[in-house]
Amino acid sequence: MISVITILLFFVYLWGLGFSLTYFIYLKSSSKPDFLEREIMNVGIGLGAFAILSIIINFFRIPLDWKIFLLLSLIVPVYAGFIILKKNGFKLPHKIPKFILTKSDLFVFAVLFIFAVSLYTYASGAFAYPYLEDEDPWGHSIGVKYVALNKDAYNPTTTTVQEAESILSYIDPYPPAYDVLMGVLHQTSPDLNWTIKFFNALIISLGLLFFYFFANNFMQNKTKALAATFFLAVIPSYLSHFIWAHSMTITLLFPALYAFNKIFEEKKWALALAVMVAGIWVTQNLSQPIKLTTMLLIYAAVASVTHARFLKYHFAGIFGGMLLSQFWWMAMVHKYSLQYFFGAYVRVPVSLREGIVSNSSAGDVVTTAGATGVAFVGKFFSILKTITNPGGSGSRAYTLGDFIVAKSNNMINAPIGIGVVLSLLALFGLAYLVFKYRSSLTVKENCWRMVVLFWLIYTFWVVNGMTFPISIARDAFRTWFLLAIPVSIIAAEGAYVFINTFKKNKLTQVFLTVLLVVGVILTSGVHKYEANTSIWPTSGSFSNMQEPFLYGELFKGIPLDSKVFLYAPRDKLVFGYGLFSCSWCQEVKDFRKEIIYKNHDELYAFLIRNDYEYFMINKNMDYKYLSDKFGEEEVKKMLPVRYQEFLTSTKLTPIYSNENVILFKVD
Amino acid sequence: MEQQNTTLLKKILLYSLYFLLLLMIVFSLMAARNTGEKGYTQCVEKKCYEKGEQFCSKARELANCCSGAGGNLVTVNGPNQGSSGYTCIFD
Repeated sequence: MISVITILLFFVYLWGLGFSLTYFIYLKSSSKPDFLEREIMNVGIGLGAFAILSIIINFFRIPLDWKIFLLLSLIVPVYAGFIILKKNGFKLPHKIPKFILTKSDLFVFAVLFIFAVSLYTYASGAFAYPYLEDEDPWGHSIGVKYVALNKDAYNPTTTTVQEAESILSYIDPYPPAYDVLMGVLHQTSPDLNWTIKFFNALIISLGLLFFYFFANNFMQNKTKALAATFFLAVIPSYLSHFIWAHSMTITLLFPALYAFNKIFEEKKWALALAVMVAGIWVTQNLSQPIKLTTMLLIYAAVASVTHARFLKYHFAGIFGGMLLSQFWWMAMVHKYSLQYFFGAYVRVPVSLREGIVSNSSAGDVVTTAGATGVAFVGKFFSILKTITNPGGSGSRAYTLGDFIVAKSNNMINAPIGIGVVLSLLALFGLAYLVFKYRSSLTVKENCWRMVVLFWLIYTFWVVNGMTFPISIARDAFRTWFLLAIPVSIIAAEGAYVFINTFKKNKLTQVFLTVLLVVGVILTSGVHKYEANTSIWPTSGSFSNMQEPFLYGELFKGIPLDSKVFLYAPRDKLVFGYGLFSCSWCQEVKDFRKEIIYKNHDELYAFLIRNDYEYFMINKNMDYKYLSDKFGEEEVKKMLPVRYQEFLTSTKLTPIYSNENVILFKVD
Repeated sequence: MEQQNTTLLKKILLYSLYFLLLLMIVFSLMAARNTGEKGYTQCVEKKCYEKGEQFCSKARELANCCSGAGGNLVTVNGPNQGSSGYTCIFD
């Protein structure tokens, strides 16, 4: 169910916060960007500002309410409007200001077109099925609902990281900014399923606009920036419409880089950079913030050398942002203790664990200085190994074909591949940069070329964490998004140089441009479109491919936010379809601990006491998840007894049934 | 003096870039060892060593190793069947 008012509010929150931050930067600044750049980048800056502001608000126990965000985002714009009116003697302008279309505006319109096509692709793919894909988006749906209802991003009911993660996986201790943004939007947009699908697609697509303005400032060339934006939009390995915090974290990199570039002109932009970096650090769980910060640090270090001065404001912006994000991280350390907090993130490999266990089982209670030293070294290496562990559900070694040939059948969360034409352009661009500027790469004017080459090396190395003998960062497969950034920029340089070799013949230039655009679309864009608009698989909780569609159909007939209790502990499915179950409530958690031993009367009393309107059983799902908890034998014995009680109940009316699923109305 | 330091830093930066580019090429060439049946076996063994038997026999992990080695994971019944019921085939 579309909520137009929430789309408007989204832009008001972000633009207002971005305006508030940049207003004081522009106040005494001699140079201001064009109208479109300024206003669009205010939205980008506002995204980062919203992220860290929500954390600070939450820290001071102020409710995460949409009205508070609306108020905070409008204070400075209203003040600025008042100042302008005062200056004009409180007279409204007589004439409508003339809008003069400039050449740069045409470039912006072209980028807006790319944005629109991207949004259409992502949104049509996301809405091609009624459910949420895979597992992560369902987990986010609980966090979004929790924030929307409780207006809070701390999980108050748990004491350990593990317990917190089992209920609300993505708000606490996982930094919650993504779920907070979606939760605040959900407060005015009743359909949770629509809210997270649409705004996730919108955030990713807006990233392309932010990227264009960053690239234009970075390369100082609109044509190259436009080409790079087009390449980033069509490259399969840049973000898919998968719903997770990465969508927002990666998008935030571009306003951060934009602010970084602007510090060269006006040092006050360091404040905006700090806010963007803080936003990144409170949106995703460490691995992506570390990589994005590394990219910013590479830029700062390289630029310091090429500019022949230590860029203290740039570094201050980066480290200031990390410091600002401690409003979240220190609160988590305080809540869970340092030991539990790090215990959740630093996982010791099996081989090392076995070594530790076998040592201790020898009964050696006396620790010698040598043994302590060995233990310390062992711990150091285990931490280092954790920090640089390239593993993850989708990490693997890659072949040359994985890079060059884009495929329509791709991973849904972190797609891979570049495409043949784009790969050739990137290789040409790389060769050109290395040979043409071999002796002048360290010149100030070529700073961006040097930076982009280092970014390419860094991201390529991280992606190949399992291919190469040494890994330098976590989660290799989730770095394809980042590799797409230098590849797009270098390919743009390659395309620009290639076409400009024929600058004496305009017709040839036009022909080659069309040829490259068509080639890139056919070898990259088509695969990206197909991968993003196909029917994606969903949670492993379901018994077959048809069941999630059946659930969608059944739940469509139930009013939004109705309370539905699933017999299997899979409450997240209910949230994802726009319904509700209080999975974080103590009584629900307690009931689930003994659910198989609760008879019909106890279940019914529980449902009535907790205002559940519907109750659902799913033989396969119940058997699978209850067996995990109570053991197969116990479930085989108890489940038929319980089902018999439900089926003969006079208080539970079946409103839908098939051989596996029964949906009851609680009378 | 400052001028000299700057020049030195720039040289270090430039040579670091070339060294890293070269390293990436060397690593990429070395990656040929990851392909084929040998690469697949090595990958599975590494996973078993690091994360245990139960983890490394998962279909997802086997598929990752197989794709990384340039093969296709298929379910096979017969003498070539691996202990997990899957095998990696190469063209």
